[in-house]
Amino acid sequence: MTQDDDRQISRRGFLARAAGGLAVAMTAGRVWAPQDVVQAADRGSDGPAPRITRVARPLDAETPVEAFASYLTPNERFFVRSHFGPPAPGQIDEGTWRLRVGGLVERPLTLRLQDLRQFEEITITAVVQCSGNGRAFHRPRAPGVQWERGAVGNARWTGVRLADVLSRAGLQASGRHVHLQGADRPLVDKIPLFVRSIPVEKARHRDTILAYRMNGEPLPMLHGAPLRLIAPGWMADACLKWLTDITVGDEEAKGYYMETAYRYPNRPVQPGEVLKPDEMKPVEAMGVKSLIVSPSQGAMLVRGQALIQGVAWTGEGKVAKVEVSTDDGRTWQSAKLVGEDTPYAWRQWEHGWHASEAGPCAILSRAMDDRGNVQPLTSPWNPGGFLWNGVDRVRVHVKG
Amino acid sequence: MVIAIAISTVGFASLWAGPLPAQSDSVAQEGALLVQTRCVICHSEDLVTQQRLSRAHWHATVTKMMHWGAPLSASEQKVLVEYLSSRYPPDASKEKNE
Repeated sequence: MTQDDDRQISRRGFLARAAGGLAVAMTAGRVWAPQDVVQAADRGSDGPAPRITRVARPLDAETPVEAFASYLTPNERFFVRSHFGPPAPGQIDEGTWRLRVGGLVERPLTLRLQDLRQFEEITITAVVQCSGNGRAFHRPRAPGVQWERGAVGNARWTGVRLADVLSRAGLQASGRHVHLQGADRPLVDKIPLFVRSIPVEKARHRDTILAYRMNGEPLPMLHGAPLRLIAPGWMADACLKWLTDITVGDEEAKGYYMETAYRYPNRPVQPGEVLKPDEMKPVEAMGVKSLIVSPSQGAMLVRGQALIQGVAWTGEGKVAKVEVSTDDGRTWQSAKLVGEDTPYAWRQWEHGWHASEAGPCAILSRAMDDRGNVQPLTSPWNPGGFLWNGVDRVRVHVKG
Repeated sequence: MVIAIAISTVGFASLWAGPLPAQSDSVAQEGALLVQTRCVICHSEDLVTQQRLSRAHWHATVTKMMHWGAPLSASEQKVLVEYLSSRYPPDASKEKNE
C-alpha cells in the first residue's frame, strides 16, 4: 500500500469522514456534525437536493433517480438508511475504534483500522440496495420507511476480505453463522440493537469485504465509518455499517432485527396475511431489477427521436437483457446494454425511441438475468414490504 | 382580579369557537399532540405520517412502540390509535407512481 493509502486509513480524522467528501467548512470553534452535513445537502436552494428525505430523524434518505445517470453514485448522493442514526463520534474515533472478532474462532482478534493493512486490499464495484427499496409500491401498504425508487446505488468499495480476517482468527468447524454488530445505538435501552448474521458460506465468499473506502474516499460517516460489511449481490440488511463486532456462532443471530424484521415468507401468501417469524426467512440476495433514469417522471418530450436510458442489476448471476415498452406494457423492445460489465455492479442500458404520437405516455423497463429471473409487473406482497422489483414505470408527455 | 379575567377569557373564547367540539375533533387534536410530543422522542413525525395501515395494524405498531419505550398510558394509546387509524388508513390508490 502506498503512503497515501496509509494516510487515508490511519490519519484522516472524524471530520473528513463526517463531511463525506464535501468540503468541510469550519467556523471558529464549531465542528460540522453529521446532522449539519445532512441539512446542508438537503437544502434545495441551489438546485435539486442531493437526496430525498423519507425520514429526517434518524435519517433515511434516497437518491433522485436522475443521479443514476452517473455510473458510480457519488457518496454525498448515495442513499442513507439508519435505524438509530450514526454513532456518537467517540465510538468511531480512530484512536479508540476496534474491530473485535470472536466467538467460535481459535484466536480472537482485536484490530485497529491500521491493522487491516496486513490483509490484501481489494476493490469491488457493487450495487448496494435497501431491502425495503420500493416498499411504497406494495399494495396493501406495508409498514416501514416508504422508499420509492432510489434506496440503491452503485459504488466502488475498497477493503479487505472478510474471509482473510476469519482465516486469521481461525474459524472453528462448528461456526455456521457470522454475527455482525455496529457502533450505532438506540436512544432507549428497550429498543433492540441492530444485530444480524449471515451464513458462513457468504461470509467466507471471496467477494465479501470489510470496506473502509467508498468511491476512493474514506468511508463517510453516514455510510458506516470507519468500516462496514459489503455482501455483494445481497440486500443491504447484511451490509452492516459502523462495524465493531464480528462473532462466529453456530446459529443465526437472536434479536428483533434478525428473528422478526428483514424476513419474508417462505411460501406464497395472500396480501395482508399475518405470518409468524418462523414462516419467514431472512432477506438475502437481491432480485433482478431495472430503473429508467431518463426521461424523468413527468418529463415533457418533443415529438421525434428520444433516448431512454437506465440501469439494471441482479443479485446472483448477471443481467442478460433489458426490455423497454413505450405503450404501457402492450409491446416490448430490447434495449442495448452499454458501459461497464462487472459482477455485482449495475449495467447501463439505452433504447432509441421515436416518440411519434403526442399525448401522455407510460414507459416501462423490465430486466431479466441469466438464471431466468424476470421483473414481474408487481412483486409478491409480503408483510415487511421487502424485495420490490416490479417493472419500472415513468409517465411522460409528448408534445404535439 | 386575574382569575376573573382568566375565566372571562375562557368563556369569551368558547363563545367565539362555536359549538363544543365533537368527539372526533378532540381525538384529532389529542392524537396529533401525542404524535408531536411522544412519537418524536425517538424519530421525526414523517415516519408516522407516511404509513397507511389498518386499525389492527396501527394498534400493533403503537403497542410495539410502547414496548420500545414510547411513554403512553393505556388511554393515550386508545386515542392515538383512533387518530392514526382515521387519519392514515390503508391506501386507496391501486397503482404505483400515481
